[in-house]
Amino acid sequence: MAVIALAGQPNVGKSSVFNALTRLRQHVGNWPGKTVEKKEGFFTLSDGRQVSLIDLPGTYSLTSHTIEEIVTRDFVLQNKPDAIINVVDASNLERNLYLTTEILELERPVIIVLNMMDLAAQKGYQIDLSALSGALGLPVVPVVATRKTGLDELNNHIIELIDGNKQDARRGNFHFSAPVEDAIARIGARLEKYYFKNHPVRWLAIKLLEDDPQVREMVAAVVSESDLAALEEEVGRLPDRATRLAEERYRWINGVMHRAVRRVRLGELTPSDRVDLLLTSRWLGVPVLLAVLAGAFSLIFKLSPPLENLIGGLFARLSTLIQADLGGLLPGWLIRLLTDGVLAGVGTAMSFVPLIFITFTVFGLLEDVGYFARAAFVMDRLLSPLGLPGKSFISLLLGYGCNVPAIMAARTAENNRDRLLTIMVTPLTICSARQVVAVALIGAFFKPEVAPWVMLGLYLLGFVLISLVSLVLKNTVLKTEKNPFFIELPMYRWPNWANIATYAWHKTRSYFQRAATYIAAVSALLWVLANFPGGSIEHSILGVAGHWLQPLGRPFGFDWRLIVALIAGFAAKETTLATLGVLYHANEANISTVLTASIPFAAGLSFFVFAMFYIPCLVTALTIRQESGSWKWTAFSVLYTLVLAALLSLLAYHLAGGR
Amino acid sequence: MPDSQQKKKASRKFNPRNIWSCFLPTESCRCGQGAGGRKKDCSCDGHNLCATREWVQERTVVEEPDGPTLQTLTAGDRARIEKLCLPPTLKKRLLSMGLTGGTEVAVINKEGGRMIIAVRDSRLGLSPELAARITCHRVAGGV
Repeated sequence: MAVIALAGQPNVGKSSVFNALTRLRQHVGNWPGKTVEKKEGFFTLSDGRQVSLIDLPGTYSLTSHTIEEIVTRDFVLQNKPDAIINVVDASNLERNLYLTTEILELERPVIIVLNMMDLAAQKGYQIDLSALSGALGLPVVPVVATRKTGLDELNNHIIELIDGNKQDARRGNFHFSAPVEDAIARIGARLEKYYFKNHPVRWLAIKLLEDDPQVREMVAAVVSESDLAALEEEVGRLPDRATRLAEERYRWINGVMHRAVRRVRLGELTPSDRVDLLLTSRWLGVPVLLAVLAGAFSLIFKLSPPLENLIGGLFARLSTLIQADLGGLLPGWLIRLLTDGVLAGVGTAMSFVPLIFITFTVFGLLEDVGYFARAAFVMDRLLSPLGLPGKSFISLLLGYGCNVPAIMAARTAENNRDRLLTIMVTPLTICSARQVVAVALIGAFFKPEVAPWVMLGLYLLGFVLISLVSLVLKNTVLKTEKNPFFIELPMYRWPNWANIATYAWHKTRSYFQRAATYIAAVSALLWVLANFPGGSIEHSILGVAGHWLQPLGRPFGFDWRLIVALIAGFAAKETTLATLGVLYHANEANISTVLTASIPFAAGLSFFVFAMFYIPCLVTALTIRQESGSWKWTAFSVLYTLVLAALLSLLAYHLAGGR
Repeated sequence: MPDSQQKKKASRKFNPRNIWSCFLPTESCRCGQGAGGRKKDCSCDGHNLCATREWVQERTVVEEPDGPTLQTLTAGDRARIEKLCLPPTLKKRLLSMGLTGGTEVAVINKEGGRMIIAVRDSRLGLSPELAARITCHRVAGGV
């Protein structure tokens, strides 16, 4: 099967091209050893051949400063795909062709896909496609992925490239100035006598001139001392070489643009700019952002409950059916395991699938239209005094969906310190799984008319805690200079609903799989532990273990069942609720009523606060380990959240009159 | 004995941190500066991008701005970029995003020190600290 890589800068509509080609026949996972998302899709060419399409992470260049850049270039160098589809934004061609010049150095056949031709036309661009193809020395295919136009032509070009009919598409016409080309040739000549698996010598020479740390390390480990000294001298002859090479790339691109593109004057205010004058304004930016977020969350919490009730009702009905139809066939304990254990736990978790889907749809929408970048820009002013960069805001916002992608999104930070700080505070955001628990607990311990205010108070408390922890870390263990902030503000565009739905579906599916497998297993296990060796829960394995741990919960007003629920919550936060359901013999329909009747208000409030902020879930903790590269920081995030939750819980318990 | 060999030998000496590594094995640095395999104090900054020779490390000398910077511009101004006085990583990122010497930029909006500039058909939001590290000279015309 032919393998084709899809490469491009961020916000060029790469996902739209990927979805259009594969028609959603795709698999989403992670790159081996990395938490960078790996999407692989399949499609059939017009001649019947199957193609595997790999969606590489969006990057501005191919240096080795970010994981995305390393993943992209390593994949191409090591796997040598049959062709690379380089998706470029036709309305931002000059900047996008920078990556093209770097891709060409990887010496694989390249097709340029000019996406967003409609936007380019709106901006007044006139692109002469044959002149552009001639200037680049590469096949160029105009595509509007959202309308699926241009895909047949792309299909034909792919066939030609796979069959090896366009060998010139490996290098295109790109070249540096004569002095730089001479330097590349001299360095290349020194490297040629050594073996660098899969790495073209010309590419290595260029990367040495760009002071690429990874390539410098690779070369240093292979060549002799004398050649290393000679290479150092050769490289040193070009002063400020990284700048010079970048400038030469853009000089060549300017030549291409001059021959093939007519465009509007730089800096003319576009409709997108006019919207930004309002949305990023000093005085209106933050109020608008708060209004957008308030709207987003009210939409989430208005749309979810009816669907949650529907799913809850379906599980309750299924439970009744099992009891009625299988009651005579299966032993009683097995029926109760299925209904009170598995179905009660899974049903509770499943009833929140709509909440997860709607949350990610709303976040996907904000990201797709380009508002997330503006939110980060606006928030930089507010987050800066806390030591957090504006880009952290995107992580924190994503954290309200799920902490795992939020921690991964911290990679957009410009340095380790910003990244680490963002990772450390992200577990304080109330993820959708904790929102599930919060909604049930608020329903149990507060009157319906104050419930929205309690939810708002919870978010505000989270923000206050993030601020405090940031300030403490910034002035103690992470006391280094903050990197200056910058961010690309992509043009506003109409949402691509197919992309948003795919994004929300992938996130929901992973939750759904967890609910169907992990939570089902945990619920069954908990039911067994809560019902054996027989008699009452008090005398079960869980009961005995819970009683043994009860002294730990006494200062917070927790009985053994609440302690067990918190322990189960470490596996996955939504399991807290499923465990409460099993331990209090409640189902998704009556859990709030049962908790109100069983737990005093002070203990309930204390439990609510503790459950919201104590330790990140297992998957989040493992992601922190992977992203921070340190067990020490992982342990720190677990410990500080535990201490923080304990202090707040203690305070809540005593303020509510518990003793 | 060459410097590199002396460094290697020194890194093999007993270090209490090595005991910790036995319990929690992690990727180790090959530069020998990571004190027996732990990343702490290593010049590779935890990225495992170090090696046995000093030349591998990127030069980190950052120039000071010696002329007007983007920070001196107001909304509607145009200017040509001269130099980026920034650490290499940040500098390369901005170069790849089109902020190269001689490039014309236009200030779309500037409020509270933060600015949005138009550069090569894209828009970049810059903090005041970053704008103050990019030297430029004004050109005629406005947005």
